[in-house]
Amino acid sequence: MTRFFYIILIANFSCIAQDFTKQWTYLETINEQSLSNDIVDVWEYYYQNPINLNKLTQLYQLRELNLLSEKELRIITLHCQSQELISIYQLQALDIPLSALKRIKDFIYIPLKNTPIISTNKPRIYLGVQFQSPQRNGTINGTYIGSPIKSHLRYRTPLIKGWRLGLNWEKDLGEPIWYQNKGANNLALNLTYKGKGKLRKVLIGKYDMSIGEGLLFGTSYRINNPYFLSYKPTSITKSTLSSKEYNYFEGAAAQWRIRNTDINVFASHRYLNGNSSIDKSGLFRTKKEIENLKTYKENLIGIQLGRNHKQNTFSWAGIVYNSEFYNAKNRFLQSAYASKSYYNITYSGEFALQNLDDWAVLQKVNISVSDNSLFTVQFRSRTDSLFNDYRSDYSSYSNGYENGFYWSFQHNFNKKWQFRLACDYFKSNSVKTTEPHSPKGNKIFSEILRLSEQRKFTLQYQYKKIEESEHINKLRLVYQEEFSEQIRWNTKLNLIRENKILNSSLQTNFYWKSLNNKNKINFSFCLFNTESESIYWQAPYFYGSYNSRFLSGKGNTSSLSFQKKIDRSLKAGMQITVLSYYDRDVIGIGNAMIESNTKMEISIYLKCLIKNKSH
Amino acid sequence: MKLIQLTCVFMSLVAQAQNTEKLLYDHFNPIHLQEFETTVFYSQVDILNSEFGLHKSKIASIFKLQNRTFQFAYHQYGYQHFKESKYSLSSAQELTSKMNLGLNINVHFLSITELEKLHSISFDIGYSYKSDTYEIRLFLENPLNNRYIENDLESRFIVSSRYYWNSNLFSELQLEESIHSGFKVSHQLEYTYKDFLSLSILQSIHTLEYGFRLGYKKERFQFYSQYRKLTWTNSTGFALIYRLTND
Repeated sequence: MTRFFYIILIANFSCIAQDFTKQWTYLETINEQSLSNDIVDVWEYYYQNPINLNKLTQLYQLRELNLLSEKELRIITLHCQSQELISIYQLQALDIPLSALKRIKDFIYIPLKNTPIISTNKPRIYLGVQFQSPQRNGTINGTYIGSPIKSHLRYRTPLIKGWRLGLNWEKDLGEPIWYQNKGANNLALNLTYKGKGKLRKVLIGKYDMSIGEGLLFGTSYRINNPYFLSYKPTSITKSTLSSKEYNYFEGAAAQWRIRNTDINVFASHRYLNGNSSIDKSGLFRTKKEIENLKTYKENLIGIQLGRNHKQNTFSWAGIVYNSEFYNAKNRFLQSAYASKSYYNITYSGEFALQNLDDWAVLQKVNISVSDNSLFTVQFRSRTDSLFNDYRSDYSSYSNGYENGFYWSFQHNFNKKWQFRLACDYFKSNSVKTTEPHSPKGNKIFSEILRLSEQRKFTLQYQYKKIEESEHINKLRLVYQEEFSEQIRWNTKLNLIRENKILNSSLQTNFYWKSLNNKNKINFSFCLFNTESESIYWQAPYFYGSYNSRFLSGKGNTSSLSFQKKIDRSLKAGMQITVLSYYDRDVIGIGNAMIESNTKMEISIYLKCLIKNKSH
Repeated sequence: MKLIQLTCVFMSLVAQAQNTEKLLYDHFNPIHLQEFETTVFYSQVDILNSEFGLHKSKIASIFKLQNRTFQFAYHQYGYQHFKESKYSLSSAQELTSKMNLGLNINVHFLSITELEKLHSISFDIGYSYKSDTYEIRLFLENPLNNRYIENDLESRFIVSSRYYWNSNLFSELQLEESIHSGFKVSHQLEYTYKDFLSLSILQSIHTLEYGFRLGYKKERFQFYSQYRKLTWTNSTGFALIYRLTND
């Protein structure tokens, strides 16, 4: 009866939730640049497929949420491994801030007799539009083929017996909904199955793939904070309804679990965009741009075998990859991954091989001392001709810098204060024709963080030095305060110094919510002044529209948004963003040019939960 | 002990209900008006270059009208051949017991010898949050970038916080982003002795500037003298404040 009560309670919470403001705000304090619609897609996925804390294999997926610190993750994992829970509220007894548990509450559950939670079994529709004023030259002179309105439709619904259907359709400003001879514009259709027997998962449609440490494939969202690598592979393939137009696969994937062994089989067939290089912009508005749409066929087929036993993980993957962009030759890619924990030491490593010629290796050791300190050492190396298109986002690990050595240290002084320091040394292993022939460099990143229920304070300093080029110093300060239950305020200062030139921006955000939590208003203002480096700006959280951009020059940007929960199943929002430059008369160039130094963007969304009588 | 300290600070805040030194800032944040209960007249002069008479001056009155506090001020900057003047009307609104919102409406005039006279209108917004021991203030100066011709009126965004260490001592940190002069961070430390003598130390870290201010209070009059080493000049300033009634 008690368990039933808890499930009903959680179900009720979940019904009215699905507002990721708390989660967004947390990540905003940690690393603003990692915020994108991809992470919201991850949260939405786990919102609809919550993590069963009593399942060891699912427990590790908590990491993918990017909402817990290493220490919090470790405490929860150890606790859930040691006993079977009957309620998620048992986690409150752990030495973890309540705010951390609130952040993950919507994504975890304890089932009653392994029955999936019922609250997520409701179809959801999201419809969003965005338009700009004044309009761009491409719209005015008719070069843009589509309407000047950006539109976005997302639909998710459960089907029968563990099957789900998802649809995501997005068109950018100036793009048509449908291209002649090239089909729908950025349409993703997903069919997924989640089972409890030997066949655990089936995906048909758009999906992400992450193998091992991601030396070959790592398209799933991972926090793009290259300095505190806390990545651990969890699921190999995961369906995605993200609007991204690059860095994904399309086809079918299935997962079987036989005893402790996972067998993943996957295949992908899609077309890449581009001409002489792969087009990652995702903008196809003019006839010339459309010529680059779906130009190169890409095929992939592979199998992954993985075994989890206690604290040890072993996996092997073999993939055949073929792309017309690379002369249509088949590449045979292999990845071997191992991870082993021994008391407070965890080793993980991946070795990747391409056609038995090119290789890559990554080895990592994590050492934790008590619950308060963590030390990580990582070594990586690869040949420069290794397949590099879908790897995970490592610190300075591109075709320019194939070798690297990284270490980081973090220490929790107490429950509120944390200090982190990371150093990364990188060097090219291919000789360049121009000087420096083997470029090398290093980056240092340090952070002091203070988190309490009422205040958050982050001070980050980054130093980057690359041989024969200017040193860059970056300082970022974030201060946030909860003035009351209804009002939250934060300010962000960004300073970038390069070649004795200081680039800066100062931003402030206000968040207000009504007492009944049905209305929300956000206001943001930022004044920026840059000469040599652009500065990242992120508007306050607004569901479905992630207005972030790099700002360069002199000017200000402000945004005002209003969101209203009309009833339990309907939510609407509007955001107005104004960008005004002081140092130019027009914004942009070519067809994207706006004949004014000020532009305004209006975003409107409607989110609807369709009531399902069967539940 | 903590309670005694908090009580002292609170009493000091009450005593300093009319924090007149806030009138002497480079910018006038209208939320300060919320602290003024009596009519005040004040005048301020900063001599920036005595050789050719470059100066900055201000004369203003704070008064109450229908239970709302207003300030009317006249500012002047320049010398014989270049004069920029500004008329400002300011007021503040209490949002909650801890939060205030304020507005300045400014009319600017620019007069350059042998050139056409120019004028413009701008506004500034101020916001403050005040707790027992600290205060956070925001100031948006000319957010729409109004101008005479092009980018000739300052547009700034200032975030500042003040912390009261005890009844006599406070420090203030200010982050300023300006379209004209870029980023600046400054700090101020002020000590008040027996509510009639005050000493402030002013320092900017980027760009490096420093100065001090001495204040003296005698009944309804307050006198301030200030010296500042700016990047491009040395500034000497004076201010006289007169209240119509005693605290």
